[in-house]
Formats: sequence, structure tokens, C-alpha cells
Amino acid sequence: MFNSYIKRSYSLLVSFFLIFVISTSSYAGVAVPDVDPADAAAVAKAKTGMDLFKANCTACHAIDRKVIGPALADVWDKWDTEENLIAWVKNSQAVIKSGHAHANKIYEEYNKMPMPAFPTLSDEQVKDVFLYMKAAEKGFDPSNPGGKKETADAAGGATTEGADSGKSNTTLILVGLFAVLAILGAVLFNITSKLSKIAKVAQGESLDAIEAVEAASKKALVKKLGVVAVIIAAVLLLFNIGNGAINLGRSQGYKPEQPIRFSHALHVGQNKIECQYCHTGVEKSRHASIPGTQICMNCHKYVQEGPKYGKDEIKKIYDYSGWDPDKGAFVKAPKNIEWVQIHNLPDHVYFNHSQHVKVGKIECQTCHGKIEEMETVEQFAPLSMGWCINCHRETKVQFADNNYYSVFEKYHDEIKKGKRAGVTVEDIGGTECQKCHY
Amino acid sequence: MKQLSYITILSFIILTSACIRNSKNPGREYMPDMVHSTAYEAGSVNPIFKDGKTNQLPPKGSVAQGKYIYPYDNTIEGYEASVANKNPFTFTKDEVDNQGQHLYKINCAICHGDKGDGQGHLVEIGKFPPPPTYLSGVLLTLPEGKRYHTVMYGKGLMGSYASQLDHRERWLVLEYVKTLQGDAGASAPATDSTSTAAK
Ligand code: HEC
Repeated sequence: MFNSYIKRSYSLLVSFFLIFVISTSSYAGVAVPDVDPADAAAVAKAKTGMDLFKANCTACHAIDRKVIGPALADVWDKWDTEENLIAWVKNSQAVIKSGHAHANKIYEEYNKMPMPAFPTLSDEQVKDVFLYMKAAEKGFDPSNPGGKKETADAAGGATTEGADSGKSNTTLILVGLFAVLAILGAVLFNITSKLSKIAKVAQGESLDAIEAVEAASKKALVKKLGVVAVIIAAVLLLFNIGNGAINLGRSQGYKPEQPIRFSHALHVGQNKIECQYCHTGVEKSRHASIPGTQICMNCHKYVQEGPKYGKDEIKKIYDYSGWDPDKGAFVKAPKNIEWVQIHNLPDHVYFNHSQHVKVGKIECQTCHGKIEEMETVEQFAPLSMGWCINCHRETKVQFADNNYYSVFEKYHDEIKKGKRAGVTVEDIGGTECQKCHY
Repeated sequence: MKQLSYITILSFIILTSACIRNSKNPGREYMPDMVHSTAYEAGSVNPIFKDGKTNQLPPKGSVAQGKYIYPYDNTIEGYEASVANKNPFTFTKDEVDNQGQHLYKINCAICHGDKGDGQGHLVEIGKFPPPPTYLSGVLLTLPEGKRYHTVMYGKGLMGSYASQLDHRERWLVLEYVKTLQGDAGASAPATDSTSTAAK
């Protein structure tokens, strides 16, 4: 059936071609009318075209840029007749075989990568798609013919940003206010003390005597202040020494600059990409694993510009992976990205991601903090032994529906009989030394 | 003079306490030779290998035990030939519904959508163009071998999932895609009715 269809469209094409050759010696081009936003019927057709376009074409085409296939905005002048262009959409291979010059040129230009045939589309449907393409070129959105802008996303982004800058603004205002008040206070104090001095002189006291008393009280005050300062200094010093000693070898809050300013806030927070999409090892091995550029390129072959750093940071991925966005191909050998390691567990401690994530079903955020809000990743946990042990003491193991723990029959029995509320990691040996040190 | 020395000591202490935590600096450590592995770790730089990585691919031509070799080439002809490829696993319903769905949610739903309608989150927020829906048209009846070929090598705007999913996981996630497609997917045909190249 399919073959007969092709034969039919093939002969149709040949006749179109002949008619074209015979009837026109001038180059016609494809004329597609613009959509009048007031014309409900035309808008509805363009809307149908939009749905078809999104379902069938966007995987390879965009209007204004080359993706897998060419940009579609300037297709109108390159084709001779609408009939031929429709025939191409429905079955490009047949048009190529018919010897159509432009069809063959495009086919060669794109390394003989065939465009899939769309035999199920009717001529009318293809025309609707054209209508939409033409409208989209002009920035017209048929699902929103009034042209009202209600991009929820942009609005959402703006409000969160506004809230952020609002917060820092208020602190600034508060600090400023405080400074002004302090200066005002000092000035007032100065004035009152001068005034009282003048009043006392006016009452007949000698200026020297007043100043002598003042100097004495000042001296006493300085001495008192000095003692307080020494006490504060000693406390601070002790605190610093203690704190410094505890923090030796811990890097909580470490937030180094990375070779690419990759934002988890964007990829996890806004785009909602699962952690495991990139950290593929996390459920299978000891390491969560840092993704290679091929995983970046799953999306960034298409996404060439980010919302914050524009093209700069994404271009770095292209440099590392050897991708040429103009040619749409890998042209150079990939280079290693030397990410700066943030979390470093001492060599004498064994830690396994899959044990915690896959078996224990612990959320990544438990140890890594609100990664979905971090523009630059920092170490959230102290990674100290006390921190590990505390968690092992407090955390209830997910015993229910977890085959991994089926061997603990006694505990399962006790839970069933109601003798036991739950099992902590400590109960199954999670605080034994050799669990982590061996 | 005395006051001055108090003030210097105080400001010195306050300053040093501010210095101790600097987010650009991992901090000090004692006995670094017990902290840092002398052996090379999986992700670390390695001067012994030419490419500077500790993680190495197996030497060309060698195959790890139990490792699957995909017999079709990453070419248009390979794609057409992959029609003959069949799922060698039999998965239980439980495996497909749980593990399969889990893998799908992680790797595919972001573009293809939870329901497979091509309306994943990236599409909804306008960052990625919609992929074709699984639920109608060409993909509904696409042979499973071709689906596997696409997950293996990528196709058009979709990247390869060879590094993210292993042989079993690829078939498992595709089996879940079939359940999204309902009855039509369950019998994803082996014969090819959707050839791109007209013969
Ligand atoms: C980055 C977005 C994205 C992700 C993630 C993604 N796909 Fe796709 N997928 C696409 C696009 C775009 C196409 C259309 C490719 C084409 O026909 O050119 C596609 C096509 C397909 C096809 C049809 C292939 C064919 O031969 O026509 C299958 C099957 C498929 N995807 C399965 C999956 C599976 C399974 C996953 C998860 C492992 C997945 N996709 C993840 C974007 C994606």
C-alpha cells in the first residue's frame, strides 16, 4: 500500500514537474499568505498548523535557526512552487529522485540525511503548517492571537529576583539608618555635654576644676573599657583556637570557582532535571560520578544560550567537547574538564553513594543541602565523623518494602509484633568502626 | 599608648577570626597524608596515562565479561537494519512498572513527558522543542529495534543514552514506553511500515 502510494505521488510529482517546466520559465517562489489576527478561521488554521509543527517538525527544525535540518524562515524563496514544497514535506526522497534541483542541493548539503516522510499528512494539513511557519516568522502566536504577553515563566523569574534584591535593599537601608542615628546620637551627646559645661561655668565654677574632674572620670572609664576589651579578646581568642582546631581538615562552606560556571540552581531548580540524569553512578556505584561532556551535549546541541551568562559558558562546553555549533558536528578531540573537587572524605573512610541513595533511599539534599538553589556548589555538610555517626544513630532504616534488608528476620518479626517502632542504622551495625574504616 | 595596644590586639583577633572561614579555600588540615589517597582515585587526574585521566576505557578490541556488543552501525543503514533487533529480556510487570518507570522519569520524561506525549518540563518552559509524541503517529508503531537503536546512538536532537543506561536498562525503559502507549505499544511490530527511505 505504501509502495503504491509512493508510485502515485511519484507520478503526480513528475507531472507537477513537467507542468512547472512547461508553464513557467520565470522563478515563482512559494507565496503563503500572512495570518490576519482578526480572521478567526485563518487563526484556527494556523493553530492547527502549529500543533502539527510541534508534533512532527520541531524535533529537527526551528523557524529562525538551523537545528538538525535547515532554518525554515527563508524556505519560501528557495522553492519554486507550493506543490513541490508540499510534495517534499510528504515524501522528500521522491522529490529528490524526481531530479528537482533544489531538493538535491539540500540533500547534498545535509550529507544525504533523509528527512522522514510524512505520508499521513494531507495537503491541507501541510498548508496549515506553512501558514503557521509564515506567521511564526513574523512573531505571531496563533494560540494567543491578541498578542497579550503572559509568560508565566518570565514573570516568576522576575518576582524571585525582585524578592532577592529587595532583601539586600532592606538590609542596606537598615544599616544606613543605623549609621545616621548613631552619628545623630554622638552629635547630640557632644552638644549636651558642652551645654552643661557652659551652664556650670555660668554658675561660677572654674573651667579648670570642671575639666580636671572630667579627665579623671574619662581615665577611669578607659580603664574599665580596657578590662572589658581584654576579656572579650580572650574569649574570642579561645573560641577561635577551639573552632579552628575542630575545623582543621573540614571544609564546610567550601565554594571554589569551577572551570565552567555550571548552575545547579538553573538545571535542577528551574529546569527540574533529576540529579541522576547526570550523576549516573549514584545508584550503581560508590561514586556519584561527574558527567562527561556527552551528557551536557544531550541538550546543549540545541540549547546554545543560557539565561545568565549568555553564550559564554555554553561555548566552553563546545570547546571541551570539540563540537562546532555552526557545522553541527564534533570536529576536534574532546578535552578533560578539570573540575575542582569540593567534597573530600579522608582516605581512611569508606563511603558508598549507592548504599545511601539506592538502598537507604536518602535524598541527595540530606547531605548536599539545597543543591537546587545553589548557583555555585558549596560543601553543605561538615563531613565529620560526629556528623556521620549522629545520622546513623537517628535515621530509621527504610525496612518496609525494601528487599535489601529482608535478612534481618528478627527485627522484621519484632516490628510485626509491635515490640519495636523502627530500626536505626546503628541497630544494624552502622556505628561499628569497621563499617567505614577498613 | 596602652589603649592603642588593646585596640590593635582586639582588631587583630577579630580580623583573624574573619579569615579562618573563606569559601574559596578548603581550609587547613593536619596529617594530609592520611587524608589524600596516594593511589589514584576514579575521578582524579593521572599523569601516567596519555589523556591524563584515571578512568580509562577498555583497550580497543577488548570486551569486558558479560558486556553486550551492539551489532548495528550508527548509520542510516544501521538504523534500517536494526528492525530485526528484538528484546532479549523478559521483564516482570513489577520490574517495568517500578524500575522502568524510575529510569524513564530520570532520563526521558524531561523531554518526552511523564505520559509520553512529548510535553516534558523542558518543553513546557520553552527551553527545548517538543519531541514527537509516543501516543500517536509514527512512533506508536515504530519497531522496538529502531527504538533501541535511537536510545543507543541518538537520533536528530535526541542524544545517545549509551553512557547513561546499560543494555538491560535500555530495554527496560523501552518496555515502560510501551506501557505508556497502551495496547498499540504492547505489540510494537517487528515488520517495518515506517521506512524513511522510499524504495
Ligand atoms: C533532550 C530531550 C530528550 C530526552 C531526554 C529523550 N529524548 Fe527521545 N527524542 C527526543 C527527540 C527530539 C526525538 C526525535 C528525534 C528525531 O526523530 O529526530 C526523540 C525520539 C525518540 C524516539 C523515536 C526514535 C525514532 O527512531 O524515531 C524514541 C523511541 C525515544 N526518543 C525514546 C527516548 C527514551 C527511551 C529516552 C530516555 C532514555 C529519551 N527518548 C530521552 C528528545 C529526547
